[in-house]
Amino acid sequence: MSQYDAIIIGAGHNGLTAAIVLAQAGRKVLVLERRNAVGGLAAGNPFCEGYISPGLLHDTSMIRTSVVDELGLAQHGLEIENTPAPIHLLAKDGKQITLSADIEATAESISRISKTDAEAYKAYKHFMDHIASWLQTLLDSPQPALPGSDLGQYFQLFKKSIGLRRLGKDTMMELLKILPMSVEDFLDEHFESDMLKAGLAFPAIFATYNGPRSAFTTMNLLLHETASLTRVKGGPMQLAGALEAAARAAGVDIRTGTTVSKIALAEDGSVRSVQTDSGEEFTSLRIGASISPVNVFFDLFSPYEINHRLAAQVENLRTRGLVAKVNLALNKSLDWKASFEQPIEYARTASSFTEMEKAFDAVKYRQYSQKPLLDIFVPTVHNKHLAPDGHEVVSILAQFAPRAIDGGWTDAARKEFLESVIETLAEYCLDLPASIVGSELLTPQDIEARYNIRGGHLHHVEHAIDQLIGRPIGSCAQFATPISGLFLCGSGSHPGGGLTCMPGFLGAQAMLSGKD
Amino acid sequence: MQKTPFFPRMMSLCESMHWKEWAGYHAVSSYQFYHDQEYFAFRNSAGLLDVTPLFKYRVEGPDAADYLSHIMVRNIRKLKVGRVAYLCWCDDDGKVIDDGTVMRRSETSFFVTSADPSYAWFSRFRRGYDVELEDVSDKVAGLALQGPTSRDILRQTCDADMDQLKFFQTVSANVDGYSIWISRTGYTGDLGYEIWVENAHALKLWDALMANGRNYAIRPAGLDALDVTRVEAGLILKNVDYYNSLHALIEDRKSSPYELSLGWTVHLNRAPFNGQQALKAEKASGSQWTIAGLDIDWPETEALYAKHGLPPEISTMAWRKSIPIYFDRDGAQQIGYATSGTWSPILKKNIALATLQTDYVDLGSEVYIEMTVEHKRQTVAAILHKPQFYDPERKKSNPGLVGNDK
Amino acid sequence: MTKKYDAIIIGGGHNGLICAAYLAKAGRKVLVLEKRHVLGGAAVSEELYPGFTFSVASYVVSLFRPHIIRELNLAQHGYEIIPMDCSFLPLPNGDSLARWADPNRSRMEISRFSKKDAETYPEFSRIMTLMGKFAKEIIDHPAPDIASMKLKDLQGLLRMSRVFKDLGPDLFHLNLKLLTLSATDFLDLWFESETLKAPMSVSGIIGTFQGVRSPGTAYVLLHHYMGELDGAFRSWGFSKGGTGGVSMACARAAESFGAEIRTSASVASVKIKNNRACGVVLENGDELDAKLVVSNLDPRRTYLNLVGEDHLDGDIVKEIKRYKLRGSSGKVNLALDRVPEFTCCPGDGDHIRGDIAIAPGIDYLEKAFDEAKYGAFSRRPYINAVIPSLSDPSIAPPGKHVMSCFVQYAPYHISEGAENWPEQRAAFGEAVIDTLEEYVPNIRDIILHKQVLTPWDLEQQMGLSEGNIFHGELSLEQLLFQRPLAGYSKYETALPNLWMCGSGTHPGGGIMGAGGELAAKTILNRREI
Repeated sequence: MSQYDAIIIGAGHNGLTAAIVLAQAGRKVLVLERRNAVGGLAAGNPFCEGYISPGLLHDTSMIRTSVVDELGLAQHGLEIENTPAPIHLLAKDGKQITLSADIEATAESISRISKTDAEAYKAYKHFMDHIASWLQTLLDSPQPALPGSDLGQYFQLFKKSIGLRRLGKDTMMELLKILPMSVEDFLDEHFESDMLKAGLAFPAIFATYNGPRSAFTTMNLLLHETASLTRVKGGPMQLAGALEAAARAAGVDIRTGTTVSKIALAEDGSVRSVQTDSGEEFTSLRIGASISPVNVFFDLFSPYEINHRLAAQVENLRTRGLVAKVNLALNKSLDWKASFEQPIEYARTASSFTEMEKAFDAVKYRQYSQKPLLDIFVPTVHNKHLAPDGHEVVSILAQFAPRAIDGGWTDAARKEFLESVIETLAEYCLDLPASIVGSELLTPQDIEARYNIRGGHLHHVEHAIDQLIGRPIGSCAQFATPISGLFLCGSGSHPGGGLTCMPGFLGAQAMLSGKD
Repeated sequence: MQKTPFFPRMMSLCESMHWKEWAGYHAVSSYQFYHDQEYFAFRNSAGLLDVTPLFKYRVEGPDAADYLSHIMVRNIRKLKVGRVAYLCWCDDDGKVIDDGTVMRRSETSFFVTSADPSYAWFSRFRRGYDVELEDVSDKVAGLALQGPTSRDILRQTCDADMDQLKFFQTVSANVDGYSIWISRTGYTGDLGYEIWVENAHALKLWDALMANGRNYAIRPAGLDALDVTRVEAGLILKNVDYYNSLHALIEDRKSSPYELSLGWTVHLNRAPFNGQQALKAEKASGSQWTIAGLDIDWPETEALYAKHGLPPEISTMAWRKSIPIYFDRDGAQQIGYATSGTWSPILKKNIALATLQTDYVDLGSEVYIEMTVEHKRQTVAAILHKPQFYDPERKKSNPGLVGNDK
Repeated sequence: MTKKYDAIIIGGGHNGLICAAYLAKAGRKVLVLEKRHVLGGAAVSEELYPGFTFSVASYVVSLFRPHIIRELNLAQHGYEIIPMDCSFLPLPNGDSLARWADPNRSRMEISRFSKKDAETYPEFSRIMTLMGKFAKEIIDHPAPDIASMKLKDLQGLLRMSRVFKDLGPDLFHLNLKLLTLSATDFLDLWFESETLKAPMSVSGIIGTFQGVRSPGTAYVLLHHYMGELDGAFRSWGFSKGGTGGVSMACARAAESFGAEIRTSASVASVKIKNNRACGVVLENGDELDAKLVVSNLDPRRTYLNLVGEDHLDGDIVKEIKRYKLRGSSGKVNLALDRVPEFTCCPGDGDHIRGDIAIAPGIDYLEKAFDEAKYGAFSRRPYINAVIPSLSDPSIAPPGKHVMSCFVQYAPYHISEGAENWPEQRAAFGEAVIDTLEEYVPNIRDIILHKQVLTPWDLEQQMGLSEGNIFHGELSLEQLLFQRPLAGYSKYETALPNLWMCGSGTHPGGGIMGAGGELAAKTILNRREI
């Protein structure tokens, strides 16, 4: 039986981040990973002979430079740029809009569709930039403990953080007005072009149980827009690789292929050790779980060790996986209908709110979308070794594909959904079907099985106001849990899912701050 | 309104037409206009009472004992086959949700009764246990046969060895080709049994008991008589002496087992169970409230009435209302409240159950209860007593038992 | 020169009348001007067909503030509510679910669909009652302005935060869910049976352009539990003589305090002098002067029709144009030859004396919404029907009945354009009858008269912009200190001396009377007149 200062369960990007923070603070750290490779949703996977898919999550724009610097990831090969990658909004007729960090260039691109919108975009971006730093502060610091103590305090905090002085009264009132709005209503107030509105709205409903008409989706949009600031050269696999290297360099023990079966408690109810499937036991008074909170509480404890209040709150978490991953292997480069000066990495398909809303409608009736919305990443543009020379890998996050569909994910259903994804992509490309030499479909059900995420949700716990404030549940919102010594440090914690590494970073700090 | 399987018999016997609602069922309050005879049946011979409206559950499976131990304040793993446990169950804060009984009918099979519907609550804890939970409330009928001659009547009625069946034991038996199970439990604090039978055989059982009981002065009894006996026995009643914590609107209406004087049912030091942490803390720091019995001074009561030229006018019915209890005679300092009480015909005492601040509970000492005589509020002295006023030896004894087991 | 009033109230809906009554009771000289020949606005009773009196628009009374009844002596003026005992859900498969005021009766009924749900039902009531404390705090006071540093607003915020604090962390998070979740997601936290959840969820969507799965629809569920907090049990009921009875009681109360009420007096505009309201101009050209003017109309009409863009700051015009109304419901009123017999549960028993919901499943309701989203009325709509003549024989000839059907969805903005509603009216009425026919097979045979009101009709007849029965969507960004506009949420408008008291002000729609009461009390507290 080996003794550690801290054990991290799950070697995803957050788990590794937490381990590095702890190790760099001089703690003896063990990371246990169920799969045979580290990186979790950021890890690449060979999916057919000669082709490797990038991470399941492929948007690297939310990684924080502050975290990268703090962890020293640059020394381990991570190249990061301080602007998000350009995103291309595609239309079936070959038109396209490029959203990039360069506002003038973006406006120019929009003006080809609508001159009014080009001007409106500048104002829109100006507003976004105005609130960005305030929102980032909210996201990058731990959440305040909610009521119980003194709610007046919370209101003060709210008032302060909402930054009357910093934002000005008009901006604050505007924020309060738009936060509850649907992204459709919000963007309708600014723009006229369907294609632009749909493209901008895309992240507002990504991986959520919402269509663009759903209330509060504007909040999702703001959170995403103001958090997308960077890009990792080469994509998520580079991030995973750098994190692993940094962890090993910091002296972290990483054990892959090791499934934790139980967290054992001491007499006083605090954590004592973790036990694995193979009968090994590792002791530590601090355990950080970067796996889904549902898996933590329901898989790793005896039922009577979780009290009713906690169990009920965990059970009530909404974790409905809604996004499928499709990886395509092509024997040549993607040939877009739209003409681009150079090969593009990121693209979105969504031509109107109605198309998006209809894609969402299917979910409500436990069906997948007949015309799915695609979030496309072409990793081979910058990362040639993922495919044979001249060949291409296309990574697609396709929604909506709910975890539970009527009739289940039968072979026929899988085939039909995969085909509809390819058909949809083919509408924007020339000659696509003929160039496909291999493909992989991961439904939320597959994601659940492969990554052991209850519900198969990319963010572990859906992003919705009630699950972002006090994430995932009130008693675990400051990373510590009601079980003494057990911390959460995965996507289920503040500030949520995506390749930010913030939950791991903040979670580890919480683990360090308590008394040993 | 629902009707229990015994309804046709009760309907023809209930001359008073005094009925009340019990958990959505028709239940007899008293068969005659006055319940005295039914009360004395419980105490002198045998009273037969329909307890079908109780909620009943079958819990079965390899993990059944672990599962029930998680929910209940008692360690059910230690309950022997053939034994019955009286207990309560709590929420996470150690506040009582309901009280009831658990019978271990075999190593892996249990029968649970409760006052409130509990299926939803019990269901919430099934995750991770290999256990089956079935609500048999409307499949199984129940009769309470209570009183000194109840054993004799059962001996005549079924094939179980009644002399062997000890207090809080359960046994299966046959009556003319159908099976029943009997638990030596009840709500009268006397020798008595509760008999459980599938609905299909319920009327046959009633008829058999009534026929065999004729020579033992059996009498159908209603809830009014039961209420007097349960106060004499110091048995608390949900929604009268305490509230289900899941339904209480404010914290003050919730009670812990210790506050209900049910601390003896709590097995504290064992694997985690619902409310354990809170109960450990309360055990360590002491409870704010305690349920105690009150023996209300009769001469003072007589004197109060006498001042108005009246003899004492005390109802023979048990009462259920909140009455202030004071530390001092002039009522300056309230220390609690009585929740139910009765004139005890057998003890010739005016008694009550009261919830009092623990600091003031010193058995044998005097407190003061509010009493309104001729529209004027006054106080009468009462002696603090343990809740149980009446506890006949026959309740627990087995005179027919031979050998060491006796 | 006409005589001068302290206050002129434009619109004789229940809020306008209540506002008038409070002002008159305080000794002010008040005039109420109603465009139509009857009082009541949307809370109106009309004898549409000889012998048949209908609650034409609004049809049940729920959250009417009990202190208004006491303070205005409304009972003496004819206010009388007949409580509803049952919520009845007929199902297409011949089954049904009846929820009763008697908890044991409800438990047994619900347990036919889910035993767990049946037992959780009272727990849910308890939690909602606890959270209703917060809602009551909100309804009974003007909404504090979150951006303001005024003492009153800070006190208001403090009072609200205290209620929040009393909730404790668990209920706080639940409250967050209540405010942001969809009705179905919120009910999913407790219940499993669709048959139970569907009729419960509809209270979240009534009058909104949202589906039961739309985020933000959960909080209206609270309204069902608020009656308990008012100490008035079974607060849901029919007004005797139709909902117009409530309005008439308010009118009589107002008159008893000396208010003057004129019907068929249509106001063309607010009279403005020196950029202040100083009276009204009637359609017939008459001008009436007053120290202040209170509009019971919806915010859009008040600002854009009564005042006009010319008199308003550009930002205000922009904001008021952002204000969303989007009516989503219609009304079908039927005069019946006899009691409608439901296949699943025939007879005229207590089960059809309360409200009857055609809401046989979450998917059914959501599909009805999907049709509306894309610009069509629901072919199989959600219907909330009542047959008040079963409890109040005064409103129909003996043996005959009135059946009032609230129908959702009927979006104001149909793809063909709202002005084309008249061509669709008949088809809409048919869709409703077709739907009812699935539960009451002989419904067609017993219909004597039929009135179909589309949102377009509600706008034309009652002056409800876009046919919105609540004078504006009840979405979070249009509630509290943002109803109707941030900075003008406390009954004042951007035009000095012009006030508002309708459902477009805090706390919003329904026959609550709170808008009228709080507007009057604010005016009096601030010694405006």
